[in-house]
Amino acid sequence: MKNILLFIAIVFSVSNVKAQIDPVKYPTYTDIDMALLSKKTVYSMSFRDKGLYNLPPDLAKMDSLFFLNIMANHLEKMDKVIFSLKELEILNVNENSIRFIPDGIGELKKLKTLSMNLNSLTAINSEISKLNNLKIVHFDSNNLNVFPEALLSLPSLEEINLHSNQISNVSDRLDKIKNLRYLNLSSNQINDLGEMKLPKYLKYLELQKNRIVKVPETVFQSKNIEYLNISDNVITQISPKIGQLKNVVSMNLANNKLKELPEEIKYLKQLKTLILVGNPMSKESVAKLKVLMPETTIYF
Amino acid sequence: MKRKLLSVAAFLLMTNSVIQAQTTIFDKGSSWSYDDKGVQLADQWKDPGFDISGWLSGNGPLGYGDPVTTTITKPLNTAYFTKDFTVNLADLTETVELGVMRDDGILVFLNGVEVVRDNMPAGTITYATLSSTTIDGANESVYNVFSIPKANFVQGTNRISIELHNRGASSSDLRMDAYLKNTTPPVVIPPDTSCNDGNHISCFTSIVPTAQTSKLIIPIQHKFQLILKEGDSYTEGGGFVGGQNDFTGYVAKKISGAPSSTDGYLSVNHETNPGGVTMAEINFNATTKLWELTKSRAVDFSSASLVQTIRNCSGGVTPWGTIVTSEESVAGNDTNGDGYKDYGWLVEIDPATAQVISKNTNGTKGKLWQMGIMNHENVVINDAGTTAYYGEDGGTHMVYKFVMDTPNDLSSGNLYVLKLDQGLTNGDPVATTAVWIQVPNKTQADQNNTASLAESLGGTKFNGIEDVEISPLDGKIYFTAKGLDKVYRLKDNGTTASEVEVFVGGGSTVYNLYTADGVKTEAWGDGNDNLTFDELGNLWVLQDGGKNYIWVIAPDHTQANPKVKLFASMPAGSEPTGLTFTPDHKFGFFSIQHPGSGIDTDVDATGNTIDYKGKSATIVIALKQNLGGGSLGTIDHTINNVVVSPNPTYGIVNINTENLKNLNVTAYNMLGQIVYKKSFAETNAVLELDFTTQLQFSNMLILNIEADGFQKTVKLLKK
Repeated sequence: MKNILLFIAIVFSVSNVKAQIDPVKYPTYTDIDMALLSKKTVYSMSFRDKGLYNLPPDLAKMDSLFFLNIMANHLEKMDKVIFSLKELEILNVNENSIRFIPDGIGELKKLKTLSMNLNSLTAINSEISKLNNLKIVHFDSNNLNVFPEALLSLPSLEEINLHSNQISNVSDRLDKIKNLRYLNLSSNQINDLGEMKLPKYLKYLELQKNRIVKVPETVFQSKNIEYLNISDNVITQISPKIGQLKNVVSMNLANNKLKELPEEIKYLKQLKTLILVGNPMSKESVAKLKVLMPETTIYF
Repeated sequence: MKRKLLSVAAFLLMTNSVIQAQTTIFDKGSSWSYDDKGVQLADQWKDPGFDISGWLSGNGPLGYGDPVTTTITKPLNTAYFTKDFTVNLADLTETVELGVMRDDGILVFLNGVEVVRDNMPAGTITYATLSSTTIDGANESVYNVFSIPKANFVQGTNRISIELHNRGASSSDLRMDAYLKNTTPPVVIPPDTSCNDGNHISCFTSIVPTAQTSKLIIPIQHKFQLILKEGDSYTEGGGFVGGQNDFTGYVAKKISGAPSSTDGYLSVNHETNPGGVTMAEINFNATTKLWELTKSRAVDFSSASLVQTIRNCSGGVTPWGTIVTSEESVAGNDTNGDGYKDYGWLVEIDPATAQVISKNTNGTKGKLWQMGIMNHENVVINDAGTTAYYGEDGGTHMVYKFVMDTPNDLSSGNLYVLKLDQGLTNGDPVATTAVWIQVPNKTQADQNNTASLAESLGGTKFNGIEDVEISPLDGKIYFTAKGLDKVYRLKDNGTTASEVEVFVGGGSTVYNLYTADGVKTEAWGDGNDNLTFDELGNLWVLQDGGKNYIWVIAPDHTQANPKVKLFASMPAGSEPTGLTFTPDHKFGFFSIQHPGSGIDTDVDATGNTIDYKGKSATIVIALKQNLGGGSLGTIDHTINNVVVSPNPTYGIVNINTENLKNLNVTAYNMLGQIVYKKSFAETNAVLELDFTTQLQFSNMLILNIEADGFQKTVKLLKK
């Protein structure tokens, strides 16, 4: 039993270190020839900014790879060789010209982080829902126009970043992504959040730079939210239910159409930062808020 | 006074007559015959008599993939262009200006003789030969200027032939256009008088403007030495030096309480993902006059409270002798569950231990949370150790200031963002005043969201703040905006700022340079990036983009009265990063980031051949007398016995060389043009040279004689 515990402890510590990608223990190779010549097992490779149109086929020989960075190349598709790397935990494909994610993605069972910013994705392949270890997805700056349905089947996800897409529709069942902590939907085309239900443990919610008219009251039921950014929208009023956000520490409401805030905001005892610049509020309204919330720094 | 006025009048008359003599022989957009069949032509294709009657013709620009007037067949490795034109030799200036817009490399022949080879390798060129580097971005549209001696032209019909080589047949574009005109009289720029003694690292003659070549080019007054490169094994702790060498910080060790310029730490960032920092220890050997690397190891970021680092881009050396490394990418992950996003912070390192010294309140190692999360670039701290300045490359593109609660302690303080009172128009400040707006930074929720808070609070968005520095002369704050191709400066008054202005730059701004090859012009181009001041107030500007130069701007430079010099050109594919100096400013350390695998080997100050093909490298630069050659033990800068005789001469002269090593002789005509250049690795006691031809066209030549530890200039008169 003791041995098993020790073994578990070792496995845990190894995977923990791996997640940190110690550059000495796991040197990152940037050249396939050097990696092939290496007498040591290759765990990490980066082909960032190499002007590649295709990945080297010999990459398939790096079957212990857990980190692969192929960002900032000219890739128009995800080469099959990627999906042969069954140990992959972190995959960075940012800054390419990829239009779709092939079915092969479902084979990367150990994947924890998938980063595909600045590509040309119009949809997210539903095969991604087979990745039960996936914790972090970055699809910023693509051409998505709906919230990817496949993500709703991944309760393991802790972070979703979808900023700077064309999303106008957001699922009202986000609460299915039970472990979600960070959600960024800023700089999209959202004007109606519907009856959006948020996951229980959500800490950071970013909805700035959309066309949102109203924040649904369901949002204020997320008692674990610490940071809420709904700046640069067209919100005219905030529901008194905002008083339920007991753990919010920083709230950014800048550049909306708010003339006043409900008095219930005084119940936000953890709120340290409130940004109200760019709203048509009178100085008197702001002065009143300052009296209501002596522990909060208000920027106006 | 009267006489002076008269001479001015005479000068104006002369200038006027020169202007009248200027003619355009053929202009941009002229018609060319071309061959785009995608095959090797017979060698005679460039000769005047070659039959081109079957060739197609069209007006420039010609090519494909970029805006052109005449579209030619694609894809091609090489396209061939030719054009006949008529000149009256009596109307030509001594040299004629050829301007060529080329994407990517060219060979130009005039009447069958090669007169220009640009961005192409040496040796035999065939249809399959590819250009040396890729020309992209704004450089695709630049007309590169070349001089062709009048002697290459014939009376009547001449033929110019240009072969245009692609970077690869798979390249999406290929384009050429050209013009030919009489040369404008050279702008007279006096040599830099601030460098009369020639003993400061900023004393040099500008290099001749060039596209990137297969080697590092630095002024003839300087040498370089390779210190370390990507893939070198660490001497301690295992692992090897990472890639993408970036900020390169020399931290002086204190010897008897004084910072040493010969014994220090060299910290090299690796702008990789995963990231890393190399911490080396280096010593200057006074006998060999070379730097020696005595230790190298990776900085240890393996603490649960740190979660490593990524994309260690730029950074800074603090006045109290530590290194700050900057993470250029922000990631929202919180792998260790400490409430902080893992990446996008500044991190302080003790160079002596190669350990992170930033402390969390619970005593664990941390990052500099209160300085905020962003796409960090460099950080600079004032000498008093009270205020730090930095900027964001990406994200908000703003300039930040951090006022420490306790001097020399970056872990707590107040954060501000710069807001110009009237913003920017076309990259220029509309007014000269600004304010610093406080950005909340005391809670994790705020620290994790610096960028969006600063943006909402109205900070001014530049485009790609790469570096912020403080002038040692006037204390003004200088910063680069890479996307705007400009360096700005301002005076910080505490809560406000004034005298906000563009100091230098503008992508299309052209500066005159006094080079070893006469007066040349060069556009500032894209990509001003890292900055460093030397103690005289010269601003060293490292360029990522454009032609990847290192520029040096004198402290009394203004845009109306420019004082700009060109220090270095990086090997193909690379950019210079992270220059810092030793305290005595004899030595400067910087890195050559991501050179191509096709660059050449080189010989550095050790005299050894070095090979950093495809590998980022970190080097030291210094004046020749300060670096290398020390083992000879016979250096004497006052050698007076090296004489050129006879002088005046009919052409043949003897130089008694005292057996100097690595002798270089360069002869300039009265226009400042190089008419002779030759290198001699080993020489006899007396060297015989023949300047008969050169003296046919000039009554006087300036000879520059250089060798290891020696330099002399001689006026050679014609008998």
